[in-house]
Amino acid sequence: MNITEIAENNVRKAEKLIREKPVNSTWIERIFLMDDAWRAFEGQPQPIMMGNGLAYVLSRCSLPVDPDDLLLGRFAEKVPDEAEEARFLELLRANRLRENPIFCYSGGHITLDCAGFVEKGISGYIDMAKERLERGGEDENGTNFLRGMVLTYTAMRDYILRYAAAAEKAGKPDAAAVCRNIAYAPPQTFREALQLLILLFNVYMAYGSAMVACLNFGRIDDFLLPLYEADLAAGRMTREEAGAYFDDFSCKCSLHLGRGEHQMFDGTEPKATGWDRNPTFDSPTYVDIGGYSYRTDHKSNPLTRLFAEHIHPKLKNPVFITRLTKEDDPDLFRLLCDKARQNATILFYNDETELPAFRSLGIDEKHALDYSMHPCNWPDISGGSGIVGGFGGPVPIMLLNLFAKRRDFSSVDEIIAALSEQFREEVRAVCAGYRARFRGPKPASDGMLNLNDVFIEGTVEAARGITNGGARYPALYGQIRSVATAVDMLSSIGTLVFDRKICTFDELDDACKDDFASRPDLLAAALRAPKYGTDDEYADAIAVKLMNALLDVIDEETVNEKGEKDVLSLNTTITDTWYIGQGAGMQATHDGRRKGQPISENLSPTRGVNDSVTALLNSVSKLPFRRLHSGAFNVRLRKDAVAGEEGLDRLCVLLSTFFEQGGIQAQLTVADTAELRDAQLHPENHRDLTVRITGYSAVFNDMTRNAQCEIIARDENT
Amino acid sequence: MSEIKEAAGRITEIQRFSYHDGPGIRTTVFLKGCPLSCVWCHNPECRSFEAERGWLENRCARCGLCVSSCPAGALSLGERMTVDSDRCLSCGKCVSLCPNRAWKEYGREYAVSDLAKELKKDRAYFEKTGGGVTVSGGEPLSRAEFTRALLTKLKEDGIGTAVETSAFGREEDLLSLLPVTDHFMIDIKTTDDRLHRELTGVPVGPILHNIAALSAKGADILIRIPLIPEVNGNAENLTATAAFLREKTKIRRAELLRFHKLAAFKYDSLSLAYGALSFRTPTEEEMEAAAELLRANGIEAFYAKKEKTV
Ligand code: SF4
Ligand code: SF4
Repeated sequence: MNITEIAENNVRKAEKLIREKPVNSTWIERIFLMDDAWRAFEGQPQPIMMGNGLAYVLSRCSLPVDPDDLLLGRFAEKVPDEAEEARFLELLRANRLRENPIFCYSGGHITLDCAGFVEKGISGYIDMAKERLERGGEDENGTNFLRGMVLTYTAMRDYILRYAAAAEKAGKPDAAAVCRNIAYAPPQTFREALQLLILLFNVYMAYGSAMVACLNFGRIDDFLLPLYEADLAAGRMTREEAGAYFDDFSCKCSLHLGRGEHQMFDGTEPKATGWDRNPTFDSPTYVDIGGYSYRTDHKSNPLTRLFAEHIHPKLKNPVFITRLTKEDDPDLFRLLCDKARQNATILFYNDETELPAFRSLGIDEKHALDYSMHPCNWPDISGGSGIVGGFGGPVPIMLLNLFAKRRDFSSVDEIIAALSEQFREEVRAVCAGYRARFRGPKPASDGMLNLNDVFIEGTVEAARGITNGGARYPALYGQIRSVATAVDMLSSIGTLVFDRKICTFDELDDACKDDFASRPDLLAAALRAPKYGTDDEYADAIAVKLMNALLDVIDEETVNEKGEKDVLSLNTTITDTWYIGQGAGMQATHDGRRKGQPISENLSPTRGVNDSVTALLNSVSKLPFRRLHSGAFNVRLRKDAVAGEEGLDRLCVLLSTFFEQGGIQAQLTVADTAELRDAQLHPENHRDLTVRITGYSAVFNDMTRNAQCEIIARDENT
Repeated sequence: MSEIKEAAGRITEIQRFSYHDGPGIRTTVFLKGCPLSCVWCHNPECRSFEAERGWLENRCARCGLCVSSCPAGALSLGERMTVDSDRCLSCGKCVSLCPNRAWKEYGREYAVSDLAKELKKDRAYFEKTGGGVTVSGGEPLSRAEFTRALLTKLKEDGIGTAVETSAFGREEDLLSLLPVTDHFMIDIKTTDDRLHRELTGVPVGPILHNIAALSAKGADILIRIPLIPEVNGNAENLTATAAFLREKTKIRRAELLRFHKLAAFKYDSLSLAYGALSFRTPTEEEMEAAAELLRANGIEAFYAKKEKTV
């Protein structure tokens, strides 16, 4: 077999692995090693404990090598035997697994500074941390932080060296040489760079992640380009070989995946238990491709094209954050659409709206161009940021809170104005806290080292973690969630109370409180009021007004007295899957949503109101996306709509028009309702059916019954 | 002083992102009312010229509110909802009172300008795909004045147009649409008059005559043949259809449509009987055989392949 065939074969094996892994399979070795390490170093300062603990685990873990590995980096996984299972359950009971409070302090949800690691190598980071430690000037906490960093980077380097020895022993001298090279110097080739990234990723995923690890590698097509081109020019590697390495990279990103779906489990099915057995078992791993760049000419970046060709629709990872620009090659766009209609995990983002939004943050141009999304669709600034807090939430709840205090409104505009002022109080308080933490004199070290800190630029120099002022761009999430339900509430109030005057505000508000039991007429009228997502001018105008009003508040409150932007708020509309639980605890709302029903998801309209995809896209594209940094927008299309060459043409036109009109994001699921229903009855016939959840893919069969029903209930856009 | 009233039409449904009713991405508007009564009709909600309401079983919570509120006592809810159409006053109360949106209203009145505004919303998609608006039915010729006014308005605004018709109507009405219609789509079920009356309730003569007249004027016409194996799928019928096209028209292409029973639920929802239950969906082989036969008779026949995955 040549290398391309080996890679293809590896992809098939990885796909099979994801489908057939036993539900209770886990990294039992890692679980026990981590517990041993915790016991061994208990009592040490946390950063030291983390460094020593990681070194303990990484120097003892197995280093599986498959004869077909192009890139190394596996870990031991199995179904625990009886004794192991007993010990595992004991640890679970004693709360020593993912609730492990301190030892490996981590949480993922970050875009790693992979460009920095490729540039400096792990050795560069060791040197940098040592040099910073020697320079001193820190109190005990700060010194421990730096010592922890040195230990952690060194543990990673030693893991790479152990892998070199394992490869040598397994008869893979070239793979061994690659590992030795990257242990002592920055990667010099495309393959070395991918190898380094995978091993660093494994350290986080397989050994470091005590909580959860949702990571993004950043713009791999961009920062790997110089190495790729140098390899081709020197005749060291062909384009096909690069594709093969990337295939194997994708396989390695998928190894940790298990069966199940963590966001919508209800604890009643075995599929839901993976979360406790292995916190990363369905963690999506993102890469960014495409988009404007300060490093290269984005229009002719050959790696974007190569990686796009190597998207494998049946592999859940990596998830491709695909940044589109208006100058893109139409062929590349068509290729991506073709992959997307096969249900590849592609999340399309629009640079033309994202860049204005990121530039308005007052960050430098380089970092604006390196904007990113980490799972699930949360905005990020590659390698330079971390989340330190947030404000906002579901707008329907904000509205209900407002109505609990006040009911004397005479127009929708007045409600929006009052809502903005209520929102302002919250934003102002959060911004004040942010300024105190990040804009005053350098804070004292809190003596905590999070694994995220190890992968972010600036933290070594600052000797502080991200939340301790060590990141260049500490960020808040400004959350404006479940917009559709909020808009529909206002649209219904506007129509019933202020325009048609069929009831008073109090009557409608009271009717919501008793779930419309005594006023079915108002319920029916509310349901028939204009709805967001149907290309209705009245409802859409409310949506725009509401969003702008809330964003105005954020803009106003995030500048200081001198008019400088001094609080970084990444504004997002994403809901994750919380909209279900949040709705479950809520009274009926003024739009006719009944008590306990979900509120709206992401940018989607209220369930059941929409029937045409173009109407939906037109509505959504009216929102002021140039002021938002992320948002997820699920579009479910019938297979027939995108079948054949004509169907592909249609899909290209749908998406390109949506983005030209200013849409921010789109993610497709191509599946017929009938097909999803059939998959519930005959899972054996639908083993490859995947669907998009908040910002990743799930194998439909592996989802719990409730989660499946949730997907089926989403509107099919025809 | 006489008031100049804009033509108004009764619409069953506006379907955006439709791609089976002419080139490109289209918006199809279904007019209400059709003089034919094809046993297999896929749009039974478009047959009656009056407004109607369809009951959607999967949305109904069986609360009984509509039944008890109906001023005419026209509703009864057993295992299913039935509407006594003789009693119903078309007051719309059931639709507006249902807290679950379980009633769908067919037959909203639109003035031409309002409808045109609604139909133009997907202009961006039309322009990129050579699409536009398709007026379908129901039977557009039964509302020829309204159809002409609508198409004229759309043409003025630079929107591509198509008409889907049975061609059953007055010749001058059909010809009057020609200047404002880019494409015509016309069904021929059979050329046999006896069979045609049996299947549709009307003679075939005027239809064939109109198709010939329209073709003579140089219209772009796509002939469509809904294929139901046991009804019109025999060789005799297909050869006769081909012969008609060759001898009486300039049309040399035809699309075969695969009969299916997906519309059965609509009959249920309207308390109508579905007459096509015993008919069969043609197999891939039958589709191909029919296409071959037409081709052998000088007509370039095609049909949409059954889609597997993409
Ligand atoms: S009011 Fe609606 S939900 Fe209640 S019985 Fe009638 S159709 Fe069903
Ligand atoms: S339209 Fe009026 S009369 Fe007819 S069924 Fe409904 S409520 Fe009864």
